[in-house]
Amino acid sequence: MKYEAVIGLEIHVQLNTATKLFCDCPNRPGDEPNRNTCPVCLWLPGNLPHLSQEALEKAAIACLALNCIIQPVSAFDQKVYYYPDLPKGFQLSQHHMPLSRNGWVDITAEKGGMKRLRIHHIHMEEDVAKLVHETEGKTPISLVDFNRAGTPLIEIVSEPDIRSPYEAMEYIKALRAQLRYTGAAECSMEQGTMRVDANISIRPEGTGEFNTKVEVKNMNSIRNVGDAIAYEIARQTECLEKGEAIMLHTRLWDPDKRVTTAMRGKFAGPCVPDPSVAKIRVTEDWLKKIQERLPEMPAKKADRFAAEYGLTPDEALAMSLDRDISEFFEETAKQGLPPRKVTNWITTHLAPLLKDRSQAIGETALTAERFARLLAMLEKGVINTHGAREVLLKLLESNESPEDLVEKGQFRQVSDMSELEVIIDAIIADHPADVEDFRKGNEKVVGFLMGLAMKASKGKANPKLLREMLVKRLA
Amino acid sequence: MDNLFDLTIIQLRKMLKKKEITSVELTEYYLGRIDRYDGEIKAFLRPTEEIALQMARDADEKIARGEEGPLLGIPLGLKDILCTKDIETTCASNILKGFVPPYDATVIRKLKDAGYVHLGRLNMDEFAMGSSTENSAFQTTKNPWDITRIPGGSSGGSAAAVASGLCVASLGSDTGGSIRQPAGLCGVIGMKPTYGRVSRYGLIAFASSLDQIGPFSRSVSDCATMLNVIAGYDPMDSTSIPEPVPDYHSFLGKDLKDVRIGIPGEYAIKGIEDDVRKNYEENLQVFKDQGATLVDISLPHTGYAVATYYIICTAEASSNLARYDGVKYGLREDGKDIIEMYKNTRNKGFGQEVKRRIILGTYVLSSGYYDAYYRKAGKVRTLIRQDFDAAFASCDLIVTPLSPTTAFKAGERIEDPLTMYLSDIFTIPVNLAGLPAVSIPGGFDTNGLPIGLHIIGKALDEGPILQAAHVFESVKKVRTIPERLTRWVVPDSRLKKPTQQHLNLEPGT
Ligand SMILES: [Zn+2]
Repeated sequence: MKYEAVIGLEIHVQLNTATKLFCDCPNRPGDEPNRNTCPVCLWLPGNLPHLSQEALEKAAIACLALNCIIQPVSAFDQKVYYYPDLPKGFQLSQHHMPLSRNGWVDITAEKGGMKRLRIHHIHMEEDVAKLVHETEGKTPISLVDFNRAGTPLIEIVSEPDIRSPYEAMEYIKALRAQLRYTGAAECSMEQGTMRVDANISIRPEGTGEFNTKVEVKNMNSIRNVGDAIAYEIARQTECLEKGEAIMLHTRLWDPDKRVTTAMRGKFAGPCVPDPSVAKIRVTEDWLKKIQERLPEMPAKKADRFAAEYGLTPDEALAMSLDRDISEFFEETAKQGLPPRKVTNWITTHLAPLLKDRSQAIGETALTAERFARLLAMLEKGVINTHGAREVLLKLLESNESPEDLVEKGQFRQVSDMSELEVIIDAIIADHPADVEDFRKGNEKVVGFLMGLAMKASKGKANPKLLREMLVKRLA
Repeated sequence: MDNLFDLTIIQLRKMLKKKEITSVELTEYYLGRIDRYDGEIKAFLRPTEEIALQMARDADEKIARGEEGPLLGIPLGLKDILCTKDIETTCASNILKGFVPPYDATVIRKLKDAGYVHLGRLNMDEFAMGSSTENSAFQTTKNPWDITRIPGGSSGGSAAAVASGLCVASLGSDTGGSIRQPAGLCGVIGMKPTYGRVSRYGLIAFASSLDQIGPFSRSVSDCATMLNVIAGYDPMDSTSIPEPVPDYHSFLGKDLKDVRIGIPGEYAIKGIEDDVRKNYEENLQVFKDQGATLVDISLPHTGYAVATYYIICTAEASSNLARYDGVKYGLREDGKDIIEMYKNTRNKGFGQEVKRRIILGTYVLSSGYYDAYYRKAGKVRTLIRQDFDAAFASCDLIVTPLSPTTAFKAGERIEDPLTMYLSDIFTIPVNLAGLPAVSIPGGFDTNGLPIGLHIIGKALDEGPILQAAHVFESVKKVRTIPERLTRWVVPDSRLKKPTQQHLNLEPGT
């Protein structure tokens, strides 16, 4: 029998607010342990939460970016369980009345075309403390770092619309792009600011039934989510084929062994409305203000880029996926450069450089204005591609003007024919056999000799001119 | 200097300002009375003599500099449920023994700003769960009018201390009657303000949707003074009400003409003692004589209030008390793993009544029972609230008996929690509706035990409540301290004894 997978994802995203969700401590979990704590987030006896407006606003913006409908009234509940990472024995989470419902994201389907994946709801909750287990020494001890306790999260709960590891990964990527656009969250799975749990069940293909699901946790990259889901589908298929029943439980993905293993059940207590956090009542005015703060989102921006700048759909998509890049592109293009040339330079040169350096554009010294001046020099033939690349590298690191860098690094393109003549003379003199080959009709030799000549010019020769002169001399 | 305890805070403030007395003398006076009487009454868990004298010296310096403050130099007692920076705060529980809060409750900050002197920590039922103060992990407080009887609870220490003249006034907390019932049984004034009128920040939570802090005093004037200090919006408590606070003294001295007083038919329950009923009827006549109009009203869902209350308060308590797990502060009893450590800690740290309520609360919230109990209780609560809304359409205040009986004997009901729970029948609906109410001394039964009178107002109507209480107080003039506790006079040597500071300054003398 052929099976198909039914997958739903629960994604926790940390909001990048200045302070925690219910107190005024800095939202910096990475600081020296227990530095960012106060009586409220340690939940000392007598303490009460006060909801951060910034967290509420950022959560609402994130909801809007994922096309969710903000609910007129939402409220926090207490999820009771006992564990040392929870300083008050319950977690404040919007269980019964979430902030928003009924959203969606679009992905490119595996077989092409668009597929819309629905979001059931998004709710706010507080993160828990971090446990550090020290196993060295005679008695192993566990330490609690409360820096993360009370930092704001949203949990995005999808409908079970996902059918494959590919769709799951595309869903996460699309969602991440949307959220990063809002500036409300970093969404890094590697750094734990985005955590994905997958609920997976399988059913005979074509049937509409929902079978017992298994929850899989502990994937720390999008790739791992795909792999864990694929593993789990295979495991469940094998179970069913052997006639074994699927049990409702939670499994952990082991990134080294690349398998999932069953996890011990955690005691989950009741979930009751919290009387101390005031209910969130959304007014139309407030919602309007939040909507105004929502930036132009990627899909809309891609359409506009295609129309306004004449980019192909693929180019427009590439230029709009990341908000920093999209703004950088537009600013550069506005300096009067051919937009497709800008796109090309961003995709083939700038983006790989940033990736190598693990930097966002804003973290480098490069500005759109200086980037535009560099491309203008390239356009005018003052420098060649090689030189432009060298200067670009420097522009990422210093605030010097591209013109100064060209002069200082002597990247100015050599278009002086007499200078090129000298180089060509030397090459021809050193490689008589290759010259002979060419004359016998082997045109590939031009490429080889061009390479040598460019090298001899330290990459500065105007390649077009150089080729013309070389071919003329060989003939 | 005798009978300083008969003076109001306003009168004491005048004396302090005129330097007829110092705050150190006033503090020594009360410390002297605590030494003399508290061995018997056991209202204080821990007097804080050194802190009190230090705060009194600071107050005297401020007075000398001409500074003002509504409580500047006034010694107060605090229920041991209010977190006070650097002072052990236990909630009368073994699980919090040794817990020293690193922060002040908002009300404590306000008392400090007003210049108060911290006399000590007052006994209570553990985690405010009880109606007799017999559930304290540390000691049993006696009723000053008859030490074989309970003072009421849970703020029994706060009531008994004020009724014995062991402090000028005190603070307590009221979840289902925990201020008003002990005030009534000890014959003093106890006010539960509107839910949200006083910040709960720093009040160790029992049931967060019901808890409210309020004052105990021996005069309506002092109740107004205390309320003026502690009331007001607090951004640290998002359930506190962002409304300006009136000067509660401005309501005192007004008559009761045009005031309509509602008399709920449902409060004539079986089990109400004859003396209590008779006293209540006499007291209604007092209001009538003073010009108030009496109106019959109905609060039809009163009969469901106690059951509703015990579902809501135990449910909230079960999660509020989840934090006492031995991990961070207070008691820790080790175990072979974390779960066993939790069990050992909570088993040893909590008393019977607290365990009973945690179990009840966990039960009513458990899956399968949630709708039948907790959700339904929420609906009944709404009905009770609506009862009051409807009643207040035809009256301004509601007057009821405070408790069906006067103070009962110690040990009499400790094994019978249901009867104990039912003694709060008149006070509980007020908490469920979030309304303000006061208990004032209404008179005495044939055994000479105080009978409380209960005045309930609309939300934020603490002023009109105090207005009626003040009229009643001036007409009926009910004694607020047992005569036998007024005979001993604090010796002058105690008041004028040289302080440690003086000794240090003059080593040769
Ligand atoms: Zn904090």
